[in-house]
Amino acid sequence: MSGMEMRSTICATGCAGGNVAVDGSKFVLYKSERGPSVTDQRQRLTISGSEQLNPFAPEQKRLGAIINHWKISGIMTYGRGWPANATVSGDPNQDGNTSNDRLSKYGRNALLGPDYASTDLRMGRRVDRGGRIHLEFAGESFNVFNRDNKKYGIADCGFYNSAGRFVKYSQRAGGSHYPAYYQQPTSFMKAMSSFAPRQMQFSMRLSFLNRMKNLS
Amino acid sequence: MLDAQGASITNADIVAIRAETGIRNHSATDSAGRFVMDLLPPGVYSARAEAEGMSPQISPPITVDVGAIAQLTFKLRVAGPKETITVSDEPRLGQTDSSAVSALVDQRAIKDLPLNGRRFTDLLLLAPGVTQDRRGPTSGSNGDPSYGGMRGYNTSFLVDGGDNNNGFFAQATGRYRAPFQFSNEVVQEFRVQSSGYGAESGQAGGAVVNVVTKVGDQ
Repeated sequence: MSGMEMRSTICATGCAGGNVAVDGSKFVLYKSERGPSVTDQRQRLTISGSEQLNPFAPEQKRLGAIINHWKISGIMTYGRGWPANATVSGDPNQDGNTSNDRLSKYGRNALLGPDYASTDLRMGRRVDRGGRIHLEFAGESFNVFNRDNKKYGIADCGFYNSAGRFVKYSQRAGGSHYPAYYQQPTSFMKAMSSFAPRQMQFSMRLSFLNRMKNLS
Repeated sequence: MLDAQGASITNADIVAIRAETGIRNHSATDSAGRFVMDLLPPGVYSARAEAEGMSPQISPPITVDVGAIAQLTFKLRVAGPKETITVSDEPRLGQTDSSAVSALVDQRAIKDLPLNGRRFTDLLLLAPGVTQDRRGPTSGSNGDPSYGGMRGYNTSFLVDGGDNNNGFFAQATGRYRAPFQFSNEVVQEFRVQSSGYGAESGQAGGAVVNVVTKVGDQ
């Protein structure tokens, strides 16, 4: 820790609680800086599989031709939320950095975002008429149950969601400026966007086989 | 390599032939009867063992996955008046010697599973310990795959042994940033190795993704 300077911050307004002051290489409260990363998704389950069901015997030509040879595959994903940060804009600790302050008593990424679930399905079939050309077509649907996977915006540095706004010198009490106050935004810990809704994708693939290979 | 009594056979000749390409790899047993073939390209192999005075033995088809180990034991019999070729036991597959936690995404998964955007790198999310780094998502991506809570750019990608990381954004080259393209059609399989990977891998705080492309007429 050489080169780092320990110092205490006394908040002039008495309300920022001396939570975070990361000022270049000067750290104030190590304890509150120790927290999960925004990619720390604690539980996550994925189940995937693919199967080609041929329920009809080759003798049942009509039903077999329609229903057999379809390949069905899917991925089911469920995960708990990602951590979110109780950021406060407006630089309450007055260290000149407007993007490193959090609500009092909240450590780094102390809050938990909404969980995430998605089911993707694919059905595909290959049509092979014995010639040089093979045709494969498939339909895919992502988030097939159209689950509303809420998303908090998080910028590259991990700060985006504002838990509050620290406003200086804009209020007057009597004739003089009121030093500062907190403004609570309406959007905090409310999803402002979401992951993708149900999406569908259809594909077709033509394969041209090598004539030499076909002969062999 | 053992004989019928369970004693090791030295200086026996082993050849492994890859079914897709016909390429042959040779090895010989040491004084303890052991042999090793390093750095085999992933594929389906058939091995044959020969030693002086012994009947040759062939192995059943061995599927060698990327980053995996297949253990094969030959038990040769003394050559009789008639030439006989025996078939060895099935190879033991699995990472019995490795401390790394890894997951294989094989050709069947790449070919069959639903994949939005045709980026094979999104199939990393099937491996344990991987999640999406929600920073820097675009309309075409929900963020880079992140391993063990690390940032997405701490994952290193190797394609056929070569470095495949974007020098500026540190994601896989061809994941979605222009001008690179990397079609999932060319990928045969890949292995996701967590931190704690073997000494042959490196330069990643998160996962090492070892990608092998197709050869021959696959």
